[in-house]
Amino acid sequence: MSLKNDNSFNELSIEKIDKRLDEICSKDSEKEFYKKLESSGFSRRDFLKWTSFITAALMLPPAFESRVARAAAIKERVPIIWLHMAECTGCTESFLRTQEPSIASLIFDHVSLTYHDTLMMASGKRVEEHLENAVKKYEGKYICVVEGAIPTKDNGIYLTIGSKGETGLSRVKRITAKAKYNLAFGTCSAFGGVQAARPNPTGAKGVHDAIGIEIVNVPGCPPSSTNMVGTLLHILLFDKIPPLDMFRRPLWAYGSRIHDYCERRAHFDAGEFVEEWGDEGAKKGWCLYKMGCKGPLTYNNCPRYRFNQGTNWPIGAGHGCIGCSESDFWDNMAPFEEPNDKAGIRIPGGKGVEATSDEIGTVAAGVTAAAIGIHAAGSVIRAKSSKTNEKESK
Amino acid sequence: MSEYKKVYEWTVAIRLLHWITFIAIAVLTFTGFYIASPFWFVHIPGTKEAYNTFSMANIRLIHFISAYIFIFAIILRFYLAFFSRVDADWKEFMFRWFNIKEMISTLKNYLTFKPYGIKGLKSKYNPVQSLAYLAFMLVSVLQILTGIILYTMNDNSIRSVSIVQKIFFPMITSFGGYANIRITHHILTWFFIIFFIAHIYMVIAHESGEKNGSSASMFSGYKYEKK
Repeated sequence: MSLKNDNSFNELSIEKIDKRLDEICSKDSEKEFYKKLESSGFSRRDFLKWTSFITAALMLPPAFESRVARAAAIKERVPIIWLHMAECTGCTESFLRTQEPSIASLIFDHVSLTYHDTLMMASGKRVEEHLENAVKKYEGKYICVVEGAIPTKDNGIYLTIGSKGETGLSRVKRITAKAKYNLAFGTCSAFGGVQAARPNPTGAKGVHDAIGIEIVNVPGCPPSSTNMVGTLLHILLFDKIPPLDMFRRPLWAYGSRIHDYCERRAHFDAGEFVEEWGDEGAKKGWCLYKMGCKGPLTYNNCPRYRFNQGTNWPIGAGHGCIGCSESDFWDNMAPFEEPNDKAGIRIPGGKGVEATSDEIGTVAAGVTAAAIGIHAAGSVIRAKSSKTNEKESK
Repeated sequence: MSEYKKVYEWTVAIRLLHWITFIAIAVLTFTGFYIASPFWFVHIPGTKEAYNTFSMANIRLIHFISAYIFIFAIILRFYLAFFSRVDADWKEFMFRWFNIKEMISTLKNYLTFKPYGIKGLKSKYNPVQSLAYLAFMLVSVLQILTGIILYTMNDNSIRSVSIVQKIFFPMITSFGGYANIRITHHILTWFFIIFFIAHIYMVIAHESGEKNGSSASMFSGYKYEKK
């Protein structure tokens, strides 16, 4: 498996993909899928609308729409093992517990989810057996999705799973090693998330940092379902991972900055800022930069695809971005409702005392000015006394 | 009255670079604080139309233009320090503080409230000065690098990551992400402010102590020494 960053879609000829899809698709599974769609209240038209949306989101040409539709209907051939580590299940929740199940979540049910702690009916010993069997049966074929950070301190003892008390660290090592593709869904598994925030007592890390494997990060707190399903569909379609940026995030989703595609960007350039919650500017939908929006520092596609079936997104709802798809955002982006220049900097040796960069600067400049004042006064006194000394000696 | 003689101290290139750098830093500092937290020219609701204020975009433009000027001024200063025919002063400009003997005598003068008339100095810059200038050059480089990282953030696109961002990626991760790069950029601004304050004081102190027209020499190029 090569996870190298190649951006060449040219070599992926459509014939090749058709051939691949012919191999892994069956008419029966497609029929079954459409039946399921209908029983959930989606027409075929709804489904095709959704396919063209996701094709556009994946930055693929329109010729791929029908192929994406076929890939979405694939069943059984691509088993997924979904591991829960130190996390809140928010990624799963946001994905599956929408008010009305979206097509994305339906497809997700449809792709063979071999193992998923939250969704499984079974429990206890049977689950453990099931996991072992699945790993054995689909060795080298399955997609391993990790949700949640891995505590690494003291050999990972702060997270144990199952009746045998296996640590999360050893479980992740064991299961990702035999997977064909590894995906990290959510900021926790990508970068550590809230568990890795200072002082990080459990030594929690993202999967890549914890065990050093190559992985596709789909960060966000939670990531939008478009990003999760899109990454999965890309792998089903092309049998290779999408082009990644330097933090191993798929470029089609995390290639552009929130700030650059923000619906309030024009107000930023015009100098129109919300000064406090609920003021006239807030009512007019002005820029939230002064209210601590971290959009200028964050790469994600929320402004374009939004959350909850495209209903809205944080900035649209009137709160600034908190930068949840960036690494260590709990530490770096805080305070969330203050501009970045109000961020506290820990003073080394100050026992957790924090000061903003301007406070540090003002104090340093003040000390300099005071030192200069003392020095100047000293110099003047010295010059005067040396003059009087000269006079006296004359 | 003793006689004075004219001594050519600063070449045209050095003088020009000095004032260009000063103007660039002054503009960059003000516009930088504005970008960090916009305080003036912001649109007050109901006063005018949006198209009348384009303050943030304009100030960012000024910031970036001055940044380019600053970058080339610093590059030129390095070039002069190492390769110039007449101003190749990198040993004195940045590394005179290796000379411990002069360092001690300079510090002696400074700490006994006599920031002038240091005896036994053989270079244009005294050791304390050269230490300050080394710090200035290093901080300038760091400030330029962090600035370039922030400036090219929007060059990352869905097609690919920009080359500049790829080059600086080790730096971004070692700082711990973009937010820290930005805070570093902000706090380094204060170095320039403090450098400015101390620089002005030292110029005045030397001028009033040695009475050799050293502050005017940055305009005219000439210093006056007793015969």
